[in-house]
Amino acid sequence: MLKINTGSAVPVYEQLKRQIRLGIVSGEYPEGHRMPSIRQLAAQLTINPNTIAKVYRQLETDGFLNSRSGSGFFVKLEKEHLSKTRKVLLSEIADEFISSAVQLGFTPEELIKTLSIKLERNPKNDKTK
Amino acid sequence: MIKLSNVTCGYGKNPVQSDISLDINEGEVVMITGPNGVGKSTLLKVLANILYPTAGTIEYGWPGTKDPRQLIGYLPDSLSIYKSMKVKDLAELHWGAFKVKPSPLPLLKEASIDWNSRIKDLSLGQKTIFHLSLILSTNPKLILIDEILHSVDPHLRNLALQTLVETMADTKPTVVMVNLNYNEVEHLIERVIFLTKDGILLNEKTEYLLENAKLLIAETPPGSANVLATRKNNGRKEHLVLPGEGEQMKLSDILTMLMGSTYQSQ
Repeated sequence: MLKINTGSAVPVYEQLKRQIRLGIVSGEYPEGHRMPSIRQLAAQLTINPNTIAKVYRQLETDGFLNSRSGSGFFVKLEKEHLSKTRKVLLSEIADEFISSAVQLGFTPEELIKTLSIKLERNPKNDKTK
Repeated sequence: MIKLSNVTCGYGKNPVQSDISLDINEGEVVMITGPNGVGKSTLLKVLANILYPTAGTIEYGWPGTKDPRQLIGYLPDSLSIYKSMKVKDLAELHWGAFKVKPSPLPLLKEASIDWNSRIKDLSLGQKTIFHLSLILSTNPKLILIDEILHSVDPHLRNLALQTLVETMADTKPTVVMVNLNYNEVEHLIERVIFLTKDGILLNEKTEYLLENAKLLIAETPPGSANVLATRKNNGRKEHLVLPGEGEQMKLSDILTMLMGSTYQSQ
């Protein structure tokens, strides 16, 4: 379910684009999945329909969606594109992490140390399973 | 395009606003905001073509239209007319006046409004929803909404906004709203017109504001910064600069800060 974080200074256009991209890469929206119509999503989120249209068109240009005239936007998946995008997303997450930590005055060593401790403790990361 | 050229408007001898020039593009969603008593509703009445400017002109750019009011859906800030009429009679009267075919009004059921109720027995919220449904049913090219939606409870207000958004997607009308709750409409509006008693203080696209309006924390802002508003927050001075360097801001924050500054300067 797509949501807008109203407290965020990140523009809704950007928020939506990122969420849909994440949904596609994570498999939440599988190949051929029909995206909600512009009208439906705009009404649900009280967002200008033009903004939704802009997001869909951008995702189409970026190779995540296909538009079929009259019937809407559908998820498009290409393996190579997908793996490349996963790397881009990881890099973006890392950038965000680094910039907030730097803002708080932590050193690179402290970041690496915290990250490795967290990874060790994260049950999802247990390779023995 | 709707074009206001050097419009002066008001009642009696004292104009509420003078020399207002304004262009509103076809299909654009605009919010007029500003402090109380500066003439926002009056300006909306001029746009609705029910109050004529005492000087200046308004053009709608709808060739072949004799009476622009046929293409305008106007939701005023008070709806006390036709108290003793029934909902269905008023709907038929409205459709007759606008020369449109009767159509279902889906919002009525959601707002528990009975087709046979008398207008005077409806709550203010129900009256507003009814009026909005009627307006949307005539397929207007221009939708004008005054502050009235404040009187509708959150559930119905959300429903009203959703219906408005659906209409925007379906028929792409031009929409001008006055002073709605910033948080509720900040992702709907494409342009903001900030009105003060001295005229238009700001007339900018939302996109431009979000990109260029910044919150600067400094005792004295640099001389190059264009400061629109200043406030004290926890002992530090915050400035709204446009354009300038500083923290990114949400539209509702920009407008709230601007609103605050108009009160300080009085």
